[in-house]
Amino acid sequence: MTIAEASEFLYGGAILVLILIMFAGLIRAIRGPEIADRIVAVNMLGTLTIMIICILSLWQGESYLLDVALIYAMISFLAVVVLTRVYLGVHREHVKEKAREAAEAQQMETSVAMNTVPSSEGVSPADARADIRKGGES
Amino acid sequence: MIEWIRFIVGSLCIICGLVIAVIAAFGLFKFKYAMNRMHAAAITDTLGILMVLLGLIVLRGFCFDSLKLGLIILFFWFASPVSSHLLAGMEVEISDRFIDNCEVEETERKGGRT
Repeated sequence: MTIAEASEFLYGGAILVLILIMFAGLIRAIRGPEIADRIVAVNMLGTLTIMIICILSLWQGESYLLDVALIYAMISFLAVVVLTRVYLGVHREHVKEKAREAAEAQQMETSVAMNTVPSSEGVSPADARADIRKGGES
Repeated sequence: MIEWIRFIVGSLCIICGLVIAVIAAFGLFKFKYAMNRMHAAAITDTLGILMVLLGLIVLRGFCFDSLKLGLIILFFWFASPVSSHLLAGMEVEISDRFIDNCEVEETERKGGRT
């Protein structure tokens, strides 16, 4: 058994094991109950992909694949940063929207209470708003 | 003979890295909460990639390729803690399960992050 055969065996086995680990990470990325689980799994998948690219580079003797791996590392890091920022921005927007709606509803309620319409005693703020809009149209 | 010694050292490093990656994938399924899973997955980002690429450097010998491999290791060691920090910050701000799983004061949560 020469070194060439042995290294072929080593590289093939290593890539096979890494592919199996990637399937496990993929299952976690699909099943993850929260968004943080998915991003963690995607980050790990990127790392395993870089390992595979580096092993492939030595196996095939193509040194330009190492440049590809370096660029892939940067893009994988950028993906995590962008995903995190996007979800934080969406969440903050959601919270702001909810707070604004709550304030609007409270304001509407106080204005309805000051008008003291007897028929709108047990009416929710949304109904009160619809009543006011209808009155304005007619 | 010296070639075989180099091959065995390099392959031992690669196999060690693969075992570490398997342990990380196992931890990804064993833990129940995203913060713990982050801890397990960060093993691959630092020690796993160090061992695998170190094995490749030993196998390849000293040349320009091994410099690139070392650069990849260096980049990962800078990037992995940053991404973990961002993920943890997002988890603290978004998740409702955070208070149940990690014992912190409510005021610490509000003022603790930027």
